[in-house]
Amino acid sequence: MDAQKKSLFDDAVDGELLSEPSQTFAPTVIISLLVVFLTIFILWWIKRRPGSHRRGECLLLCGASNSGKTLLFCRFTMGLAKRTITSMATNTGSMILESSSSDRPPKKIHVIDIPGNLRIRQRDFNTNKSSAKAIIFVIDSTTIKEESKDVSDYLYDILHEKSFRQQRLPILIFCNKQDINNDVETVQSIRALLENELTMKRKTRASAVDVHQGKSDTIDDIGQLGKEKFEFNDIKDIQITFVDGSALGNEKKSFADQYDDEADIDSAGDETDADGGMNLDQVYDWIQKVWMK
Amino acid sequence: MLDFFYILTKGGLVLWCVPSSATQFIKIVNNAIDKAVLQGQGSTQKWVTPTSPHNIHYKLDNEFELVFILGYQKTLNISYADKFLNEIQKRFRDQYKGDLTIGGFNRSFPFRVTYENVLWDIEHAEEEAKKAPRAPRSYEESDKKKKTDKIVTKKGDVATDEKKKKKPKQMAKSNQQSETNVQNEEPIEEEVEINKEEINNNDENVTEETTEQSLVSQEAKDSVPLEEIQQPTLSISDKLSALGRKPAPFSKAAGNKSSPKPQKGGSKKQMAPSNDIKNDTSNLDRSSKADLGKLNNGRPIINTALLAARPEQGDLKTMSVESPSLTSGLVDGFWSKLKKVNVFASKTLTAEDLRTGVETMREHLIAKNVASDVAEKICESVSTKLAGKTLGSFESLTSNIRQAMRDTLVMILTPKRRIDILRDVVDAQKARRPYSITFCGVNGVGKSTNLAKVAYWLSGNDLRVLIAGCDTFRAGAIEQLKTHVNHLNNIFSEKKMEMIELYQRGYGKDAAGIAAEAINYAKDKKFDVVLIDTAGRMQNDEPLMIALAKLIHVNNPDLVLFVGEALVGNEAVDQVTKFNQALVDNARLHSNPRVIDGIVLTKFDTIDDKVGAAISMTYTTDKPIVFVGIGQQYQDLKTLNADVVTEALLK
Repeated sequence: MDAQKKSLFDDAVDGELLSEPSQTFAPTVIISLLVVFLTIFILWWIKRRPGSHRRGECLLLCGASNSGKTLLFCRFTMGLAKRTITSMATNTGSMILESSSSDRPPKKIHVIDIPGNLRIRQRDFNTNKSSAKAIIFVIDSTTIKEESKDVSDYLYDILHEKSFRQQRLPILIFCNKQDINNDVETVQSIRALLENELTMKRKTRASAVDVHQGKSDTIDDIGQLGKEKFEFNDIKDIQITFVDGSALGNEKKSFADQYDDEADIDSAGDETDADGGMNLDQVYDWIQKVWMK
Repeated sequence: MLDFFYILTKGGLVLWCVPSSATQFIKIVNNAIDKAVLQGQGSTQKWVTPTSPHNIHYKLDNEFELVFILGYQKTLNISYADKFLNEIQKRFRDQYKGDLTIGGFNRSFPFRVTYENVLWDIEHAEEEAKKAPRAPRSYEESDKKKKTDKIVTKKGDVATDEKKKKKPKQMAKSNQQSETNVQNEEPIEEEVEINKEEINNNDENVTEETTEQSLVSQEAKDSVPLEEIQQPTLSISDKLSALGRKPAPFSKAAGNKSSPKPQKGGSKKQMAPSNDIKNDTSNLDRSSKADLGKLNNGRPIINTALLAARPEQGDLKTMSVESPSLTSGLVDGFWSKLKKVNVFASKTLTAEDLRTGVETMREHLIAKNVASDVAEKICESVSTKLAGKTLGSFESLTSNIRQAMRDTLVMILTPKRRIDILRDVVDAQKARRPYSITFCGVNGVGKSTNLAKVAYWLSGNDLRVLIAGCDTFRAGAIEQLKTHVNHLNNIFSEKKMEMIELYQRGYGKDAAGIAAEAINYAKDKKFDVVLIDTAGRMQNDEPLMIALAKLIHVNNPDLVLFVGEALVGNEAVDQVTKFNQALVDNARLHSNPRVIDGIVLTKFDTIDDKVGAAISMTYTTDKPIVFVGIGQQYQDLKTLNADVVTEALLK
């Protein structure tokens, strides 16, 4: 009686484990199938994790808060200008770069927009810096005079970054908001202003109070050592280019229309005007030079 | 009426907004995002600032990484704001789910019609509600109502109203409550009715009203979810077992009148050493409610089991307040962790899921010496940031909470504005004036010591420093500074001229006058920096605080540093807020009163990993920690490392 019960029980268990086709498939087959599926699943999962596959091939947008990074990001990735406010998180997207010579296929570039808010930019910058192939440092030309200390602080961090110097990273300093006419700084004056400020920064950084429990890095200071004045020309390990322009540019008009959906018309169709006039030409040229070489 | 409504992505793209052409609100929204969302200031999902004329409500949609923000004039009291936000969030998500999922933001989002409809509906619902105003229930009336149906659990409006009304009272009555509760604890296996009778009969010294109030508040708390109830109940039974009372329900239930007295004493003793009396009483409250059998969820059964298993005599081991559930969210065994890891399906987090984990975090922060209300607010903001987020495969809830907490803490500790004293001194030199720093703080936190350290650092950078001895109060204060100056001058003796000098006018004089003289003297003698040492004062010492405000507003120093010690716990918030408030209150004619610009955190080497004061102070003031003092030597002055502090807090 007991034995019978036991065998019945065993049958039930077998049926549960191996289901219907247990007679035709050996357990080893099922196990090996399981292993295969598991491996595929794990591979897919690893691939799906963000950030792991973009090492060293992204375009980073950096700069102080409210300098127009997110707008530039929109222009790059969507081809239109959106209204933006302070970012709370990074934006990532990709832009298609049409090559000027038609023989080459268009290239896809990952763009990462790093928020400029002081509280989060350090963290976001540190997590994304390993994926940088090039950096666009955006400067608000209208407020650079007041913000020069903070801007140069950020710029100093970037120029001082060890990994950037090792990979001879190209940096474009983009003087944004040149479309606003009243007393905008020109590229030359911004350059001089930043050089001045960075000269000072070099001095104060060297003698600043140490960070508690921080590790001391023995990396050389930026610019030419021993020279009193810092000049961008002295930086040999990072390629710096200055251009001016406006991320908003010609799209100013369409900009306002976009949110005016009173008539409830989906107006996105006729906004995809990717070139945006001459305002970003220099930036596109630079990107092309970096990516198409 | 609403002034503006924005729908944004967390990346900062405006998806939709009303009014469509308005740009004047962008600044307000930017400010609100900086303060409320990034920094976790303000209460949950609401941001009010004295400088802006708007009340701002916001809601984070963590699933699609969206933010909904609305604002209205402060003078209007719009009660439906939160309801409206939720409704709009729901509609917007439904309408554009496809685009939001794939991140297709490069289209316009026509939403006006839906928005207007929802607004119309909600406004009308509001008006309807106003037209038929509910008669305000008087205090006695509701109590009587309660009396008639004490046992029936009441949910809804009446109960919540009661809860609000009773909250302060409930605390005051905590002792009486605990008495009744202790009695209730015993006869668990008895009928509910017997319990009732016991309360009413046994409590002769407690007035009838009190009993009713405690019942009312118990009922009001019925909406508290189960997990929350469970843990406190466990700890309560631990405590009871610690008292070593026998599990003899029948003898107690007979209405033994002599027994309540020793119990009473016991329960009070139990409560006295606990850090958080408020917490304890609420625990007692909940447990008693469970015992009353108002929830038919098996809670009483667990209780009996525990009570039956408790030891006979007062065992000190079980008395340790550290209940195991306290840290379970953080330090989990492997299996329980695996259970929380969500392997296949992705799961959307709700506030309920987060509650226990966030609560554990709060306890943890408080254990690290973070002031309790600061910890509370930080946890609130963390759960706001996480609610609605979708957990990916192999992500555990705990690690998510930890990560969000880490981000928030680093954000709080990262300065909004970088204070670079050396850079600012250069500007002052150009303007041919000395750069002045005032040190203030309560007694004995190390103002003079750290002032000397700062002087050492500045002199090391070839800056001439004048120390103004404005502590004209404490005996020996000037002599102490004199000694420091002599020492420092010996250290820098190889430099051509005397780097540091003390400016003092003895004791008992007006500090503000001495400071002014010192600054003028420094101007004449070409000193680069003036360090003003003030007398230590308690934050509630009114005359001395007025004197400090006078000193600061008369001399308008470039930097006002608050010196606080890292040992301080809940007191930290009180100190910095009172100092700030005193400066604002006593500003007199100054339209733009000075407040503390930065914090010097001293005695940082003495606290091991209890670094909570750093968070409490920066969170409360929104000002950076400029220096930390980590020892007795002149070199022991450092800047704060946000990552190290955050790690220490989460350890």
